[in-house]
Amino acid sequence: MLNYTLRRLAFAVPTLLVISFIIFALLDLAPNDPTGNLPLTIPPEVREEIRRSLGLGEAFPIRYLKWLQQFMVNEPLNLIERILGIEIGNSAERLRVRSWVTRSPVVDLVVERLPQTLLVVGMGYVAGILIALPIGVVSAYRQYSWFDQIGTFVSMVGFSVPTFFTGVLLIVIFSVHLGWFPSIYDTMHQVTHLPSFWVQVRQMVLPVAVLGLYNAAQLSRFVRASMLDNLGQDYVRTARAKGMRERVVLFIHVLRNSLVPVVTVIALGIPTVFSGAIITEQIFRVNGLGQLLITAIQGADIPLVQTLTFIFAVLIVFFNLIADLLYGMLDPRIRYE
Amino acid sequence: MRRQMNAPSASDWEASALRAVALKTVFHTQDGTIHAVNGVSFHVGEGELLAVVGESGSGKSVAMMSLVRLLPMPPAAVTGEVFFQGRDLMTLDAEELRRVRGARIGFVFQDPMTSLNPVFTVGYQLMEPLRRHLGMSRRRARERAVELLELVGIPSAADRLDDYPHVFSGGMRQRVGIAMALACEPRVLIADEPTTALDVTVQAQILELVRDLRGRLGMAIIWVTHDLGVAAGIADRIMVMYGGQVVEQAATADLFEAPRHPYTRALLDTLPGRHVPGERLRAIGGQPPLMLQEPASCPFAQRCPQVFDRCLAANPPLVQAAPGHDVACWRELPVDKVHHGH
Repeated sequence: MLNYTLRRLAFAVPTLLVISFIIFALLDLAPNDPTGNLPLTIPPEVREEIRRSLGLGEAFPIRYLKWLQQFMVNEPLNLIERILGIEIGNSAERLRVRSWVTRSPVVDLVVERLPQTLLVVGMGYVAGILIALPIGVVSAYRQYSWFDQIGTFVSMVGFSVPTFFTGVLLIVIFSVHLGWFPSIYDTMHQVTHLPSFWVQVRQMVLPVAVLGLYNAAQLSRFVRASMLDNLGQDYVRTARAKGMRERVVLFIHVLRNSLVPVVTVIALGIPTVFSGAIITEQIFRVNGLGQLLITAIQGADIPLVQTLTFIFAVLIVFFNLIADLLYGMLDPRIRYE
Repeated sequence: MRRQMNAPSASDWEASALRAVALKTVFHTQDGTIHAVNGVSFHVGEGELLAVVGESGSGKSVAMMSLVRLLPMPPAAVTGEVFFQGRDLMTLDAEELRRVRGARIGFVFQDPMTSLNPVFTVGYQLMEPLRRHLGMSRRRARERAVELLELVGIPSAADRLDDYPHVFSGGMRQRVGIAMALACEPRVLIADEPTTALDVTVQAQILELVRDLRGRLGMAIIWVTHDLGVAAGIADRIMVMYGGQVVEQAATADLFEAPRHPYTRALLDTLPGRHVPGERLRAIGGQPPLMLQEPASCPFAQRCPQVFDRCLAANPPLVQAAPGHDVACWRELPVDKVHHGH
């Protein structure tokens, strides 16, 4: 298992290098100019000076390698320094990936936005899982019952209606008409005591509900299908023939088998938590990673887009590995040697 | 309505470990109803090995699963009576029935590759019935599980307990399946084609094991198989099923020497051992019946070489043709001998 993990990690390095090159090259090929938004009164020489100060004077391969060094070496070092409070080498001299728009290091922006996204989108994901599991299990066990029919219908609706519709719908109902929850997520809100905690909970309810329903719609279908696959298996009959209670048959024998693919799918979906529910973050004004990416794209902030996209790529590669390892842990028939 | 007239002697019935009367199983599916089992009555004596023989779709497996309602309940509907240890299993509720299953009636299934749960260890699956029915502690159940694996001839049993099913061969898995069925020392063991999925040498080993276990534990065994050769080698008595009903039943030697039903004779003719070398193997022409309604005529009539008008007019009852030998065929049953009830 360890051997396999190390081999997979070693494999991830060239994969990520190729991805990083493609991302960098694609965005570099796109027409862009960091001085494009500056006033027209600035003379061309000064503009050229600005471009050179941002490192754009160099040839493409040099810029790529420098970006790679900044991203792979400098920024991780900065993070380690910040977390441990120590200084490794000459940290002030270290070049950092900087945003063209804000001129602040890209990683600092990401670190600022990450907690909002993890809290809101992550909770939406967790809520989705918690809703989907029982619905999927009961739907499969009582296949074609009214519960299953309603579950299927709700899933189809939840899956096919986009979040920008459900989000706005919930705002209209619960914020505008009923006034129960705020429609805008206040990122600056600090949780200091119980009442402020409730404010935080209330402002999270709507975005979490939108994302939870969307995730649950997909996942509950998957849980149901996986349960149905297993309910028809011979070992289920064997368990019943041994006189096991239905509870044991369902929740131990069948569920344990059904969870193998479900857990894999859940693990594979985690990177989407980070890349954020871009649309949902926009609707509820959550200042998360999704919104950061959107503003970066709109403002042609190439370094920020490159870095964010690459971070997502790293997460996807990493969670693919996690999913494979989980599969091996959950299913004894699969052994990585 | 078809009447059962196999009227075994009273002592026969008292000695039976399990007795089914007029068992009927109907599947209500979207494409219509399927009458899989049509009024099957039989018994198996204490310590007796009864082989149930018939081709695919003859209802033999469904009939045995119906005994303890081990079928998906809708779409299946089971009626009849099943007497076991002084009770009618059909009158028991689901929980009472679960206390019989696995505890007093054990099951071995056809495909050992799929009938064990792949994500639990063999030990865990063996200990489940021990803990549920006998209330054993984990430690005691583990000791007993080792004994059971030794009983079914699995080498270094204590070490194999924590292995998952996929590391066992097919034959070894079937041994585990048998150990699981025998865990609580049932009075009746129902084996549903337990050797069909195994290759011939392994099949012989399993048959040997069952013969040995039967001698040691003395439970009654109902052995479902489509292989007359297997049945001949192991059974005390053979019951032949066709079209969801019993067409003939007799002691093994009796059945092989003097088969009375045309279907039994046709089955025996298909056995390769009965052929002159070089001759083509024989098969029974035609297809088994689709059982979309209760049979109103002899189910074998379409394929029977000796069919006559009466076979198409009415379904022959199972009657005693000789002591201990019952057959359901109009050829064996002169009109004046028909009498009703039992």
